[in-house]
Amino acid sequence: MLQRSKTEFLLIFLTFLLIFISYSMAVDNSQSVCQENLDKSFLKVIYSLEGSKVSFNIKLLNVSYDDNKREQISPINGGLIIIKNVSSDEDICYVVTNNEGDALTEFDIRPGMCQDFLLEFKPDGNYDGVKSCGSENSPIIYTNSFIGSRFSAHICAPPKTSANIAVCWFATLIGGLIFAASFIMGRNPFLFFDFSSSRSLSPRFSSAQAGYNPMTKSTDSQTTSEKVRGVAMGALDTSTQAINTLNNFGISTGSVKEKLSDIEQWAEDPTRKASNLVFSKQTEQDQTKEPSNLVSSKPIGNEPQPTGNEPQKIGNEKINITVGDLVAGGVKTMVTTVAFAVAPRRAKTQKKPTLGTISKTFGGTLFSQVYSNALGILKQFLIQNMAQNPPSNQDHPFELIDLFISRDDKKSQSPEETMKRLINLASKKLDKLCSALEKAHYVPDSYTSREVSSVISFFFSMPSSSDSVTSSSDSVSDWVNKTQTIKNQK
Amino acid sequence: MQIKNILNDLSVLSQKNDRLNILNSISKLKDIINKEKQDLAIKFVKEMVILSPIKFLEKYVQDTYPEILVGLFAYLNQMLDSLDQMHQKVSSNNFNINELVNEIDNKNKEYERKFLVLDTYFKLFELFALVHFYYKANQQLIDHFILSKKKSLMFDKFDTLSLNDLEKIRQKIDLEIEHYSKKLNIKLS
Repeated sequence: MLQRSKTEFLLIFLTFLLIFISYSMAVDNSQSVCQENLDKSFLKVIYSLEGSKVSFNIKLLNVSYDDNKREQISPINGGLIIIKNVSSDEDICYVVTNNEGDALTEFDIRPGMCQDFLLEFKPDGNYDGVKSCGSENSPIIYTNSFIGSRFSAHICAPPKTSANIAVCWFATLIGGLIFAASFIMGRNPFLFFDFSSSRSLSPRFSSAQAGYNPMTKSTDSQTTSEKVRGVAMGALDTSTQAINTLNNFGISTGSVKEKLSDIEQWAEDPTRKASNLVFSKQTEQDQTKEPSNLVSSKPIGNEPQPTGNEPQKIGNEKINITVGDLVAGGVKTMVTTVAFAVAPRRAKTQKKPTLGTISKTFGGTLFSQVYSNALGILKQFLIQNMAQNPPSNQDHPFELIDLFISRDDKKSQSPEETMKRLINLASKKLDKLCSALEKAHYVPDSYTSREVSSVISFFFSMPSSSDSVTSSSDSVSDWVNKTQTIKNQK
Repeated sequence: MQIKNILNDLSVLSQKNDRLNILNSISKLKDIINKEKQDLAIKFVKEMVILSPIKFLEKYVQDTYPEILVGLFAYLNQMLDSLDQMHQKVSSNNFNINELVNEIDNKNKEYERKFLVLDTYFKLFELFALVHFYYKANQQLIDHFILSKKKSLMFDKFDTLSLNDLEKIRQKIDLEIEHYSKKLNIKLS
């Protein structure tokens, strides 16, 4: 009995011992997995594709919760992010975030290809054997602080457009040649698309079904040259009528050169208001032309009195552009109509051009041209009226400074010279500017804000040799040089 | 700082009833403020000339500059007004000018803060100009960049930020300018 109880006791003891050991091990393991309560990390990636170059704007954030269980987001400085182009054999590389949690990097993708990128934040900071994507900083080890995070992107680079255009152009050329050859041979090239025709009467065996027809001479009494002449005369008459309409607005229609000289004279007149400058931005074409009878620059502070002719000249400048449009519209109408009249018509289905159809084509084209030009004239007319009646007839604090900058800018040659002159002229006019602003202190703020706005508008619309900066991609150095020159100018 | 020192001198001189030196200090202060007005106008003209080739910036400059610039000139003019009043008081042997000195001091502090706001906007517009070149005038990318920066840099709240916060924003903008300058292989200043 005692022996049995001893054996039972031993078995129970061993069982408990086993349970205890296994429990202890389980506790140890769980502790090694969840040592601490780690914060979450969040990888925010914005990527942009430009041509075959993809830019990653990476932001590494820490998401935590305060005592009130409110979400707190803060940047992670020195976070190691491994980037892998999964679809290619390229080596993986790493970037390190700055103190704002930001990192930037770029990759090239082959045009027309799609590639998968994987970005991974590694809190252990281990980048052994991994090359840098451009970062010079060393990562900070966050093994005990954050849980890692990942981001993946599937990015496709568009194929090179030049190749597509070449292929399309070639295909169009071949197609055009086939259609033209078919047409010249007396067949209707579109008959192949006619599914209603029976197979037995296919164009291959039936020339009649294929639209073959012997060529016949046109019975129209007018010859082609007569038609062309008539159409041209019609177009010119319409243009003349349009110009006469402009004359009714009180606008003369001299040569373009005369008009340009008028504009230059108007620009020379120092009495125009700041609001006029804003409303009458000059075209780039006007700026590049050398004035034919440019009046020499008057000394500062010796401006003549207003003559009251300025608005009329503003109108001239604007309508000059419109006259050019009208002439272009007339020519377009003429060409369209002539093309319609003389186009060869050999297929059975095509009707011969008659005086009626030609007139209809001419009328339709002319109407669209006159309509678009009329809208332009109306717009210019409204602008002209606004220029004549500026919103306020009070003194404009900036009217003198902007005027001189504008006038002298026209004459300078090099961009550097332009900038120096601008600053010098602005400095010379500062007394007047400051006194005007001082005076403006006693009038409502909205008025002075509007005036500052008008000066800003003026500078941005100012004719300047630096205009090309915005369209040329490699002129950043030009802009930087100017910026440095201006900043260094005392 | 120069204005601050002269204002301190004025407080001391008013206690001593030193009429002549007070009037001299007032005159000196007026010269400094008038010079400041000229410098401010030059700064404005220069910045406009620098930014004007980047046409898309006009709307951003137009929305932010006028009110601030007008406000800055208004502060300087108000300081000059206060100095005129002070001059009249002291001329009539009334040396109770502490209130006016405090008023000018407050205006000067507010002017300096607003000046920093204006300069921060200019820095930001310079950054936008650099990004314009970096993205080769691709308006979609530029707009995206501006939108994200306006959000992260609290573009619309510069005027309400403390000097400390404003300084932090300026440092951030400087870092961005440095980053894009490196990318474009240029040096802006």
